[in-house]
Amino acid sequence: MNFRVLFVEDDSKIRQVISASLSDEGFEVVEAPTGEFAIAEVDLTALDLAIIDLRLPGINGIDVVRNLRQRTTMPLVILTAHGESSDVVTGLEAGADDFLYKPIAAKELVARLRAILRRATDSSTPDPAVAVSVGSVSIDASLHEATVAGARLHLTRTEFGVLRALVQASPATLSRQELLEAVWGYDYLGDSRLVDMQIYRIRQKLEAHGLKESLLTVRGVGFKIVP
Amino acid sequence: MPTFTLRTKTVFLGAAIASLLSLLASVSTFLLAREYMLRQRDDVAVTQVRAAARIASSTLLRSDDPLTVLLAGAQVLPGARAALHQGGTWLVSGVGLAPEDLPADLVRNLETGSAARQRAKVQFETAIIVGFPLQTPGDTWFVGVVSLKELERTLLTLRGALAIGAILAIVGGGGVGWWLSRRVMEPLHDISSTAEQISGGDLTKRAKEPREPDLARIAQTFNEMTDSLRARIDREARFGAVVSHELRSPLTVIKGAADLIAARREDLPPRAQLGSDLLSERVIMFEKILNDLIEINRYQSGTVEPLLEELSARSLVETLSHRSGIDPRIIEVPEMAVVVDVRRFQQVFENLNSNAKLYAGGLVAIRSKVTSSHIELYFDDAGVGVAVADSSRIFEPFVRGVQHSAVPGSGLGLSITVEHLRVMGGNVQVTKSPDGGARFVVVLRRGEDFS
Repeated sequence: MNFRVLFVEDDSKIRQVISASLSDEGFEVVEAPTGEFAIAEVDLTALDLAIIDLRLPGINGIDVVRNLRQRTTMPLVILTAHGESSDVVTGLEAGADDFLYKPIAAKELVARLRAILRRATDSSTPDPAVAVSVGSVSIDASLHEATVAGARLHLTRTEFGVLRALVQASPATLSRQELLEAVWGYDYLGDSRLVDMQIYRIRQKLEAHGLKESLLTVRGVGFKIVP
Repeated sequence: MPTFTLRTKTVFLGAAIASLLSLLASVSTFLLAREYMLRQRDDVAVTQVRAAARIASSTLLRSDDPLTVLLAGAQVLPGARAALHQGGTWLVSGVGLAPEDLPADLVRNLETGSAARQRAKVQFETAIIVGFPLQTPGDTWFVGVVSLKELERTLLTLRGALAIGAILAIVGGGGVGWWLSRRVMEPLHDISSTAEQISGGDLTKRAKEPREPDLARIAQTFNEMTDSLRARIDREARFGAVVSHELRSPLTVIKGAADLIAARREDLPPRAQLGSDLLSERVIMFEKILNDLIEINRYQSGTVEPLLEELSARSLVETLSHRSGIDPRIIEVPEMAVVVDVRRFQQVFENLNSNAKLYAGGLVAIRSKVTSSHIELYFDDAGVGVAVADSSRIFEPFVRGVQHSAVPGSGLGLSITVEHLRVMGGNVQVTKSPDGGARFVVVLRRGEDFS
């Protein structure tokens, strides 16, 4: 299966060279030179993932992320200058699932995208427990669906991955590092802000279904889900 | 020797000058007043005694009785004592006056037939003694002794008043000094405390401008200096951001293009393969130097916000070693929580590892020592080591191993290492390793231990 990736970047040379590298690795790349273009593209094309440069003319990258997040569940990866910590935080708050620093190496980019997509479309992963539940929260991995007392929970791909990992691990606690490895495919050194932001979002969605004390923070250790 | 503040010195100087001036004024006032009053009193005494002597003299014409003569004279000298000398004997009126009390000089003058006046102590009391001869020639003299007790009491009071005045002047002088120094020093204090805050990193602070034009100018100049400093730092930070962005876009393209070529390496003729390899290698190095420059620029412009978290020292070192292809058997680090900024610690680790590789044939051990609040990680190599003279110099920017100018790098690695560790609450030093080479000691803060 070929993944289709939306690449939002205003520099045409960068678009060209990255698209070529991704095509080499079997990705299908949809190029978007502006945010406006990208937002229109989401309605026209079925996509698996979007890479968004934060510095764009017109609608800025953060607003593009916010817009796409409202309309799709696919992973959104932001591109930012090396070490611009505040950009990363705003990007994650706007709804991004992961980030990469510029300049990106093709190999690193491909590895990153593969890891994210593998988790997001994980029907291939051997998984003995197809449907598991903790209390009223149920996960059906084959349907890629989470429910609270039968009502469907609208989660992004990444949120689903985090919730599923927690439900499968329950009653054990998962550390941020374990979640990064399980969901993002990072080794030990992933950025724990990624996890915190997803936990925050999942918690809000669970609370909307009346589950206030379900996803708990275990101080100094990590997170767990309880009935 | 103790050093005094400018303020203390001003207060003491004020007090010293005031005391000197008031002392001079008091002493001279006292002396002048005393002299003037004594002379006045003398004149009065002489006038009184002269009048009494005249009466005694006219009585002497009518009477031969010396007592009558003495009393006639003494009558007009109330509160004073009198004596009459006639025919070689003294006759005295008034309590506690003995002929021996009269000064010899005075008596000698009277013997020569002239009037005399003298100040002397009579019965422990200063008095003015005035003598007049009643007959010329002859040995009949009339002497009046006028006490100066009242005057002395007045002078004593005057002396007290002047002393109090002098003390008040000294205190006042000190006070004026204190007030003046406060007036001068307060704006300076304000400036110096503002300067402290600014050097502590708060560039938004400004000194208050005092009303005095002279002092206001200092504050103004200081504030202008801070403004221009801030503008300069902002400009440098902006410059760094612009440069980094402008260089990154082409670098992304170059890097991507190099990757595209490298991916087709097998299809290339040998010469092109060599070119591709060189290109890929140098692009990576270029990127590293660019990142180092941006990093140091960020530290210099003070815009670094570390992202601290607690991680296991052992897992951290093991993961990083695995990434860098370091043999896990050389790692001796305990399972213990440390406070790190992961991205920055990764740079520290990779920098120390690549330095060991470039200069000393690689790390031979990563050891550690735990203290109550910190953990020390030892990055040991078996190279030539670092000379003691160079052990602090190598952490400065752009300083590199002398015989290693051919080794690629920005020369910023260790200074970035220092800054990275500083924002994590740690530090780095270099000593000798037990394996004969260099030992880089990386100190990290301990977190709350995981159980």
